[in-house]
Amino acid sequence: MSWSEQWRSVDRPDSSEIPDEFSISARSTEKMMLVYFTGTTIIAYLGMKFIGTRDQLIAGLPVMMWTVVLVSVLVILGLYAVFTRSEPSEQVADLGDSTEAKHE
Amino acid sequence: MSSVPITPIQALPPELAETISTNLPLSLGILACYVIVFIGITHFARRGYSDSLSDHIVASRGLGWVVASLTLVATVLSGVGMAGFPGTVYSVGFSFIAMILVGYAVTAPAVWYLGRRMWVVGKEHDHQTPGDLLGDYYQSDTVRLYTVLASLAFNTTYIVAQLLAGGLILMILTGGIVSFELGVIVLALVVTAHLTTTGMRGIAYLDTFNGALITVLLGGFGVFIVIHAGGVGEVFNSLGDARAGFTTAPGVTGLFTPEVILIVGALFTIGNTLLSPAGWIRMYSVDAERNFAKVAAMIVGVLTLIYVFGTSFIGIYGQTVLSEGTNPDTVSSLLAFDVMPFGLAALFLVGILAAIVSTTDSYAHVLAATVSRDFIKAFISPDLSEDRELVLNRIVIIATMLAGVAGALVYSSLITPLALFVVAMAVQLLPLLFGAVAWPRASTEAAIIAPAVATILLGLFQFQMIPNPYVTPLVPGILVATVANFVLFVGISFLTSPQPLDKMEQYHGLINRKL
Repeated sequence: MSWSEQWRSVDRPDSSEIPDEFSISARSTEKMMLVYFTGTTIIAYLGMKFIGTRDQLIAGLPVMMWTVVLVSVLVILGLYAVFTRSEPSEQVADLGDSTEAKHE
Repeated sequence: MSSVPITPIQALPPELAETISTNLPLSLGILACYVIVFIGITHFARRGYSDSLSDHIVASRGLGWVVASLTLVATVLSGVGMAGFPGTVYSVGFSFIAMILVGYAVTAPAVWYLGRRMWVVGKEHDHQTPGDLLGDYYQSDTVRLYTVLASLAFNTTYIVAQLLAGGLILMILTGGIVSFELGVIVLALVVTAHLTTTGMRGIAYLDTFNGALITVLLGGFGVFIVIHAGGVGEVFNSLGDARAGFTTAPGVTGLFTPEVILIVGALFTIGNTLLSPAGWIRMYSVDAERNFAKVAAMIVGVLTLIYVFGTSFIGIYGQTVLSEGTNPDTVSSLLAFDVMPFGLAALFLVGILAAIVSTTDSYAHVLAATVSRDFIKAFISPDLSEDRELVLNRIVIIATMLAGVAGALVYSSLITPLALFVVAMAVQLLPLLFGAVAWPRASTEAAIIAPAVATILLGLFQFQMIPNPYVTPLVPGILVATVANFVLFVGISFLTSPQPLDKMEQYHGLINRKL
């Protein structure tokens, strides 16, 4: 049986050698959207805590349902903003162009 | 989840059995129509199939956003979503669906953020399975083996669960002409033939049709419920004094607190959608990085529509219409015949069957890919050519379905608890994925130790062998085990060295340049 643990035999750097640009998010737009989605998650939690506990119907639907629908709409709006703002870089276009939209 | 005595699903209420047997030609006709569409889609997919390994596993990375979204929805939804979830709402109330949808509000951004990264490195390094990415980044066959074990546990369990449900649905639709056992075998044969001849492309096309069919049927079901109840508000007001329990947090059981809704919902849906091997492979299959935002938005939109206006209405109104002794898993089927004309109710059952077929073929496909590539090719036969790997893939699909049939006919009672547990197992790959595509400080030592400890903890909590500081519904140890995993992963990474700079460059450098 072939078994490889190659990581044991390679030179690994000190953590200080990790390039600064290899961060969780290097682009400002992406950082902004991560903050936005963190916000929608907080809204979802607060909505469940303070509104989702109320036994009340609005237009026939329970408020907890409206809360969930609202959170989904906020997420979709965020993703729509991501899509409309994103400009695919040349390299990514190159990566994807051989198959892009071929089977849509 | 109901505490009341339940009727076995095999024992259909006499009035329903009589209705089906009276209208059997219509029921069989609707089933036949679906089979014709199924064969047509298989034929269509077969025409574009290139018989290459990449086409078989990741559809040559050419799925447009609509197809990619609906294949994810159809795969995730499964028979559980069509029958199990309405039954859970019937038992515990809407707070369960709130948990799932709030989970998707977290999962969709995760699909956008992590999915694009997985796509970029997958495209560059020709990754086709979870093991390709994690095994290569951490340069460890132990890590690769984790992905195989997760895939085996996850997919086998769900395949057995789907075959069980499919056998029952076929039995009901044919009025007992096809027995449960024969139904299981027929479903396995159909899925095997479809998969071995069309690969990922056939799955994606079939899922697109099934996903659209399911969405329309569940939405239509909601409309019929509103008409039957006499208005939207009446669906909920008919619950009387019980309304508060079924429409607010923490629900009838008191278990679905806001914290549980957010944290457990996020972990479950990320585990089921992004980290399940079938979900993971779909991240590679999308045609362009830019489309991930559309895919994520479509998933949230479609699932919100389905779960709020279909699943929830079925479960809540089922409480009013159906008696307490009803098996929760049969609520959607029984209510369909109560509120819709027979033809549409039968079509709804076909919709459940469609969801079952979609999930079964996706999971059998990905199990074959991971076993062939990440186990047999990686450990036993490294020199396997691409052609032979493709043949091996098909052999594993056949073996998988045989094992699935055996599991469905022999070990059926173990499936429900296992199905929940394996989602929690899949979640334990999250820190490893995060490290490989977003956090270069991650080390191989952490990738080996942290998920192993977390999975052992999960098992110990599940069998109540050690005290659990924060018990959660569905899988008692998912939260504590996942937190332990993350803490260990970060802690061990800080105590050890990260991956070599050239490996970092191949992943984090590439992502930094491309995104």
